Amino acid sequence: MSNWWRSNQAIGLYLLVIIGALFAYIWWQPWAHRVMRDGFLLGMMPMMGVGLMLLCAAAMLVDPLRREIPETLHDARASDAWLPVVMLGGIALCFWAMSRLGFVLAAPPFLLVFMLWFGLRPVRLAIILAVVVPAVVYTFFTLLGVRLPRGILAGFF
Amino acid sequence: MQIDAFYDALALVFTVKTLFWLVIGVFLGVGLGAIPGLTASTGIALMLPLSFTLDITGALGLLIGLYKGAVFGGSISAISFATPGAPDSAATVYDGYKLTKQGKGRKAILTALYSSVTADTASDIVVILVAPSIALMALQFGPTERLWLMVVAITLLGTLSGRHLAKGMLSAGIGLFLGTIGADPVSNVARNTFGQSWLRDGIHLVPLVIGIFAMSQMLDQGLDLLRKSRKGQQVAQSAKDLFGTKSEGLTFREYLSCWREMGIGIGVGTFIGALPGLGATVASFMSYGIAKQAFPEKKIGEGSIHGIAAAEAGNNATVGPTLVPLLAFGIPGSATAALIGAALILQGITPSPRMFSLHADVIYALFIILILGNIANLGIGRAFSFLYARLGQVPGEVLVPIIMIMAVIGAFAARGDPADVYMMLGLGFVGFLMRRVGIPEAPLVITFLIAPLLEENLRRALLINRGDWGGALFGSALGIGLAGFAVLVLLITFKMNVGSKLAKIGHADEKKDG
Repeated sequence: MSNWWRSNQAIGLYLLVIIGALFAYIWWQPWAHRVMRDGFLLGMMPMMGVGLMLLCAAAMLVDPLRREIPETLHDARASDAWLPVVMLGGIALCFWAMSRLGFVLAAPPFLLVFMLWFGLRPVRLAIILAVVVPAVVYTFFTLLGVRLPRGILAGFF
Repeated sequence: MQIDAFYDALALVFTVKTLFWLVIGVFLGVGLGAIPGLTASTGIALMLPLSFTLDITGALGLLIGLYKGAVFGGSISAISFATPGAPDSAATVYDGYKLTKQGKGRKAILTALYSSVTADTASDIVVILVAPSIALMALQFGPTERLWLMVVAITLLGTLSGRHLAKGMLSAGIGLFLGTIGADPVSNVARNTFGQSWLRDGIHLVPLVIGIFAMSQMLDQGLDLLRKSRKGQQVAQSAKDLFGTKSEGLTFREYLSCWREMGIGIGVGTFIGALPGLGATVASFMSYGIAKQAFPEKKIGEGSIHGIAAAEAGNNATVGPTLVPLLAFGIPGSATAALIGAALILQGITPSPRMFSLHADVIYALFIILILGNIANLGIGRAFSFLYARLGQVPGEVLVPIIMIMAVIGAFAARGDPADVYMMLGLGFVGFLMRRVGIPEAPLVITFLIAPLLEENLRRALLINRGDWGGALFGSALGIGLAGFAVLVLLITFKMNVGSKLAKIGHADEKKDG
C-alpha cells in the first residue's frame, strides 16, 4: 500500500483527474460546439484527443499492469519533481539573459554554474570549458549563418 | 523511372555543399551515437533548425547522414565500454565487450562497421525498389482509406512502442490533442488556444521535437548526475589499447564468414524497420536471438564476431525501411522518420505518395543520399573509430549543460521567436514526466505531425459523403479492412501482451548472460 502511489494505477488516477478537468474545460468553451460550414464540429478533434487520453488513463486503473511500478519510479524522491523545475528555471534565466546581454556573455556563467552543480571538478576545468565552449559554439553557428543573440555586444560584432 | 528527374537528382546531390553536409552529418552522427545517453532522435531534433537554413539536399544529407552515423556509432561504446551508445546497440555488448577483453577490440569494431554498412546498403536497395510501387498503390487511396491508414499507423505505434498498451495510446492521444492547438486546418478558425494569442499559429514543430526528445533527456540525465546514480559500467581501460597497431584487425574471409548472420539481420531489420512502432532495438535483439539459435556452433554470446554481425546488421537494416511509410503514405513510422518528414515540411515539401510525381527529383536525391551515406559511414567509421571511442568517455557533467544550451539555440533559431524557447522548456518538462512514468515519446510526435492530415481526410470524406458518417468511415472495402486491422492489432496486443514480450526480448538475454 505504501508504494501504491507510484503504481500504474495511481498514475492512471492522477491522469484521469487532470485530463478530466481538461476535458471539462474544453467542453465548456464556446468554440468547442461551433458547427463549421462543412457540418464538422470545431471542437471534435481536440475532444477526440482528450477522449483518447481519458480512455487510456481509465484503462490504466484496471489493466493487467496496474499494480506495477514503472522502473524509473522505484526510487523516486520528492526532489525528482522540483530539481528539473529548478534546472528549467536556470535555463530560462540564461535565455532571458542571452536576449539582453548576448550569447557570448550569458552562456559562460550558465555553463559554469551547471557544470559545477552537476559535479565537474576541478573548478578551473569548469571555468576553462565555460569560456571555450561558448566561443566555439558561437563561431560554429556564425560560420553556418545562424545568428545568435548579440545583446549589448551588438555594436562590437 | 523518370530519367529527367533522376539526372536532376544527380545534379542536386553531387555538389560540394550537399556532399559536405552529408559528411558532416555522418561525422556528427557517429560521435553522437558513441556517447551513451545521446540518440539519433536527440541529434536530429537539435539539427532540425539548422537544416532549415540549408537547401533540400543539404538538409537531407545532414539528417540522413546523422541518422546512419548514430545507429552505427552506438556500437563503439557498446564494444569499448560495455555501455551501449543507444538501446539499439545493447545486443552488441554481449559479444563486443568480450572481444575487447580478449584484446580484439579492433576486430569487433570493424565487424560492427562492415556489418552495419552492408546491411544498411542492402535494405536501402530494397527501399528504392519497393517504395515507388507502394506509393503508386497509395495514390489510389481516397480520404477514407488514408484516414484509416493513419489510424492503423497510430494504433501500431501506440501498441508496439513500449510494453504498456495504455501508455502508448495515451502518448498518441497527447499528440493528437497538441496537434489541434491553434487553428482548424480546413477553415483556419482559431481553437484550443487557452485564450493565448501566441498559440494562434499552434505549437511549432521544432520546439516540440527539441523539448520532447532532447531537453527531456537532458533533464533526466541531469537528475541522474545530481543523484550520482550513473547506470552502466565505466571501464577503466585506455581506449588507445583497443586500437593499437598490435590489436587484431578483421580479415576479408572473417567478414565473409558472417554472411548468414548479416543475412538474418538484413531480413529481420528490413521487415521490422518498415513497420511503424517496432524500431531498431527490437530488430537488433531479434536478429541476434535468431542467429544464436540457428547457429549454436558459432558460439554467439561468448565473444564471437558472428554475434556482432547479427546485432549490428539487424539494427542498421532498419534505417532505410523506416522511411517507407513516410515516402509511400506520408505517415512517419518512427520518431526519426517523423523528424525527417518535419525537415521536408520545413523545406516546403509535404510527404505523401504524390511526392513521387510532384518532387521526383527530391525522392531520387533521397535515394542517392541513402546509398552515399553508407559510403561516408564506412570511411568515417574506419578512419575515426579510435577518436569516437575516446568521445564516449566525455563526462555527463560537461555534455549535459552544453546540450541544454544547444537546445535553447535550436528552439530559438527556427523562427527567432522567444516563445518557442519557453514552449520548448515546457514541453521538455512534459517529456521528462512522460519518461519518468514510462510513457513513450514517439507516438506523441508522430500523431502530432499527422493530426492535421487526419482531420483533413476525415472532413473530406464527410464532404464527399454529404455528412454521412457511415459512408465516410465505412464506404469502401479497403477502409473497412483497415479499420478491422486496427481493431485486430489492439485486441491481439492486449490479449497476447505483445508489447511486453517485445520489451522483454532484450532483458531476457541480459539476464541469461548475467
